[in-house]
Amino acid sequence: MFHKPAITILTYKPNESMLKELLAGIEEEGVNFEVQADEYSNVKFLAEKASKLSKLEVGIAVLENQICVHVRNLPKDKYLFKIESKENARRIGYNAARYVKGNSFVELDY
Amino acid sequence: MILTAGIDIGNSSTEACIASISEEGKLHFISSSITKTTGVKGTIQNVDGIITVLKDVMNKSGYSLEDLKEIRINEAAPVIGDTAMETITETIITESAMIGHNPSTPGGIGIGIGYTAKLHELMDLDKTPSYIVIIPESFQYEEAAKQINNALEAGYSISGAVVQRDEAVLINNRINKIIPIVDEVKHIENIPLNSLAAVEVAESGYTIRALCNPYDIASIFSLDHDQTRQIVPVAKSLIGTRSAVVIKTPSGEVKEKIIPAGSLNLKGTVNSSQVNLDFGAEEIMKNLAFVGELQDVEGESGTNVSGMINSVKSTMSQLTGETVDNIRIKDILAVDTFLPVRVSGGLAGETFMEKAVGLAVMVKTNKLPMLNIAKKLEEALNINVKIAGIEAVMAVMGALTTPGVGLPLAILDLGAGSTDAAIVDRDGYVNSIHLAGAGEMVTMLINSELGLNDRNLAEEIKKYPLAKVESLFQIRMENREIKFFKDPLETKYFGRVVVLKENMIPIYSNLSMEKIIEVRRSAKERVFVENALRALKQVAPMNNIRNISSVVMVGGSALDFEIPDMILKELSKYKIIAGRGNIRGVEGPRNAVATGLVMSSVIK
Repeated sequence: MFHKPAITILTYKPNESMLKELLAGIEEEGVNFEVQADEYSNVKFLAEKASKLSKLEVGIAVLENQICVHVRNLPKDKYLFKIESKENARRIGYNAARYVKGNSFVELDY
Repeated sequence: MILTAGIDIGNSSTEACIASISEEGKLHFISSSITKTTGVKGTIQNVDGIITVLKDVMNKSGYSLEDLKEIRINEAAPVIGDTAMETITETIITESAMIGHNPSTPGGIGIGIGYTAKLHELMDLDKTPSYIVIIPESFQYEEAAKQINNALEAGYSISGAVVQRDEAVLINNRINKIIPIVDEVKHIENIPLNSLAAVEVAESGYTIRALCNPYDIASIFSLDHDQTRQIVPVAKSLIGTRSAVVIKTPSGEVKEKIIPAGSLNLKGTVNSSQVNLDFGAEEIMKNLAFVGELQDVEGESGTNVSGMINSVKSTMSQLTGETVDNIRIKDILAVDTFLPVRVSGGLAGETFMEKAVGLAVMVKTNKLPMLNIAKKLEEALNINVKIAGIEAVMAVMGALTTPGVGLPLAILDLGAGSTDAAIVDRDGYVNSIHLAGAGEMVTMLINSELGLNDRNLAEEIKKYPLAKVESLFQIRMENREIKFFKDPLETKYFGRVVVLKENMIPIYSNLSMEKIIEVRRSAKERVFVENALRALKQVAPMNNIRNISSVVMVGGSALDFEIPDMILKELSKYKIIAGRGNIRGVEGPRNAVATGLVMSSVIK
């Protein structure tokens, strides 16, 4: 089966509105994504796992209300972004996609 | 053996060196140092910087301050420079006639023409005409897409959309017709309703074609010849964007207004000349060459330029304590430049590049209070302080310690506040000149032309090469080389252009690396290459630059990574040997005057 290059998103009991915002951010930037449900895990570990599955080398974990972005060439214990509230979910989506495109990140609003 | 210190107070840095003098009068240089000049050159505030640099240079020498027998400071040339800038055109858009911006992700493709209408009011309107729908922030993409689809189904013709949020692609992916969608329009509430408008989004990889062409705009809006002429500034400002909106409003009007910038009155020894600032820098400099030695410059009263000249003079009068009437401008460097100015009436924060003239002026005062500095220094340190000689002569003496140079020799002192030249013939006779415009003016041009509003950043951009951060682990420098990092770079650098200092400085704007390089190099050329030629011409025998055989560049800006090469390239056209100085074979282009000062204590 042929898969288009996409950002891989692994979820476990995701906060649906956060997930929706995240996906909207990726879509607006014009990058493909695929979402799969996974088992309970540590959010950083899940993000790293997702990055290994992604053809674009970018993986995101949405675990309850935590979102973590990992890219494959980062060391295991590092991550690109991690949030635990809805405010920045869209921007995290932008940035995951912008990483793929090589564009600078939008600043998160804390 | 006695120890002597030489101290050179410059516009931006204060330099020192220490030498021992044996009983036979042999000089032996021990150490040197540099610090930032405190206060304006030639004022009492300089003493703090002098003491700092003295302590440092003594520390390095291994001797203590008490061992010092004499401090020699320069008779600083009584010239001070200042810079100013004035726009000479202003584009005014009344009744918000256009949106020209580059949202990172517009949606759809093509060009759509129709009447502006709010999306949620569309259903109340007539079905006949085509509409451009306006979607304010209060609508989420899903709701907006649903309403557009409903309207399309009900038989409305929608040919484009303007969106306040960053959701053009999201909406585009959810509607049943491909229409151009421009998003991130900040002041969407200012868009006039029921007006004919055109929305264009280019194919990815292309820029818009129709809305940046005056005749296409004229065809869309049925403009006559005069109206087409008026729309030219709009078309011009839309060139190179990926998406645009142009709206015709009943009283909509765009004008490129020429501000009466006024004229400069250049008074010289030979004659006087009145030049209108509107004619630009080239004309001013041409006229300057005519008037002979400049005696003073005045601005036409009641105009912008007189305000500009007066403010420079009053700054100078405050510094020197002389009355404004006694301040005379002895040199002026005019440079054509442009400023990005926010358009009044723009809907998405558009800017126009307005033409401007930048001026650097050089003011001669009766005398800088070097005596006061010397006295204060003597009191503070209890060491004999001597004002030892004319700056230009000292610089030449210092420059002559560069290996490989000999008489006759010309030096170019590329400073922060002024560009100086001096020439010494075989008999040791020195002829020198000080010109307005140097490093500070380059910083001003970079700052304004890139629209940075950050002088410190402009200064860094001037001094260091750039790089583009291509991934978390690598950057590509402006010479195309790649540099790798062991640890991932911070996310604030990713995808950005950075200044290559020890700690990289990210540039938070959408300027491309090529654009910044172009502005940086052209600013340096307009100031330093122009001034190098001007200065050398004026000190050259018979004012002919070809009579100069070799030039040594000294001063802070001679350390720049590209200015000396630019000047070298230009001077090679005149078969002049030019290069960066290397004072005493160790200092590079720094410390020439301080070195000359110490030397002057043994060579008379």
